[in-house]
Amino acid sequence: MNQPDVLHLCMGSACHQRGVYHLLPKLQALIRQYNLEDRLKLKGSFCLGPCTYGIVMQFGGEIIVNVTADNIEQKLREEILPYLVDEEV
Amino acid sequence: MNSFYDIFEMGLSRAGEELCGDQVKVFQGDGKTIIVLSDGLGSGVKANILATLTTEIIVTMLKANASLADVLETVIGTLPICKIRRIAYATFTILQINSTTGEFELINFDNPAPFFFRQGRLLTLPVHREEILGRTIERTQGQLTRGDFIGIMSDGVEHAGMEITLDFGWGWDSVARHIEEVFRHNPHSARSIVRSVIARVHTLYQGDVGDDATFVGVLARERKSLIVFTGPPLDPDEDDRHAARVLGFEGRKVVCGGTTGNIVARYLDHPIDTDIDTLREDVPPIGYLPGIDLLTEGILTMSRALEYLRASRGSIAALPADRNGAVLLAKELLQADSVQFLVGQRINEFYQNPLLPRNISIRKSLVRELADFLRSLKKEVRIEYC
Ligand code: FES
Repeated sequence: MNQPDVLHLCMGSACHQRGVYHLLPKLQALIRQYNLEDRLKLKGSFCLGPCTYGIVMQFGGEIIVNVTADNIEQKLREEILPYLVDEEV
Repeated sequence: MNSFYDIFEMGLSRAGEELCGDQVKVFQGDGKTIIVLSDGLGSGVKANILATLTTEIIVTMLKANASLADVLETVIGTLPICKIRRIAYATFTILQINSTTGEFELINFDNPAPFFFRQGRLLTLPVHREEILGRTIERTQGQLTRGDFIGIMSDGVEHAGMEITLDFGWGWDSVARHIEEVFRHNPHSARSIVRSVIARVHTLYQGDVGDDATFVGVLARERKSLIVFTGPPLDPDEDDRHAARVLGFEGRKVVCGGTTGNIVARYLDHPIDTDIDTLREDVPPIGYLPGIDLLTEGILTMSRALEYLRASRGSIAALPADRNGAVLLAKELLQADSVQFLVGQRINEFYQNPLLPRNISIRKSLVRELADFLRSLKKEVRIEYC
């Protein structure tokens, strides 16, 4: 089995101010809902850079910006799921 | 011995009196530590003025390197004698420590005999009696080593509970036993010992304090130093040098700030591991880096820590029980005897965020407020900008 991919969720000053505290449980719930526990490892991180476009995530070298509690599911489906290393491969 | 003299004083005023008739004055500097406790006869304003006068004269003269004989003659010669009770208007105890060598001298004039504890055991040091202007003073000399504790008190402590809970009051031997008992509970500090003694005094008086009661404790122990690195240095070429300096610091090492943390992480070539479990609604999480005792986010954590510190009034036990970055930072600051802030002044290019106030000035003012608070607890604080 492959190593799970890592998704970094920014918890730096600006992203914290934008409510990452409320986003986190939602993201954790989605990971369970999509059965991604073995394939996607969620990690916190300090400032990832583009604070102005917070909340920010980083996945496989790509920066995902403007994440909110409302669009997190869409971001997950469009910007993360398609690029996940497939378990069967 | 790079020892630190942990000093804590606490007093109770006689019930109904606003002013305490006991006064304590502490001076530290020029390689010496001077502590004076004076007990003015009676209580209230008059006693307070007499005791204040006594401590001021003594500390001012000793600071100016006047000889002990001169100081004593001045004080004893100045203090009037109560005609009715035929005793001096103010009693006093002086403790002088040579901060470099640890040599100390105790001078006692009519206060209860000071306590000396070594490794938690009461030790009796030889006392020399001397006559100065017809008054007897007691002198004791010695050498402080790590773990030694000296306690100085006014008679309100010794007499605690007299005619309320105990016929003759608490008594010198019982106070000593109480202190020995406190020593058996680790960890102890001058603060924990003194607070425990004063709490007992309060209980024995059943809240109805019969006489001003003051206790000063000095504990010789290892100096606990702390460095707090916050904010990226102005010159990025200096990043590594500062990171190395922080890591090589002798004492506890704290980094406050994500970007600052990244500077240390890059130097170590080790990624920061963030502890999501410590994320709180009002405090970002902490992270881990080898060699760093605490790594937190910057501004939000520091301002929350400042609030916690103020609310705690300097007591670790009064901090919130939660394990988050701000509580941990407050704890590190309270545990340290000396704190060195290394404050980077580079404008964080990422901080063009309308949600965050201008981050450089706010970092500086936060550090200054933290420093002021820590100094009010008699901690040694240095701020260095880079
Ligand atoms: S704090 Fe999240 S990108 Fe800067």
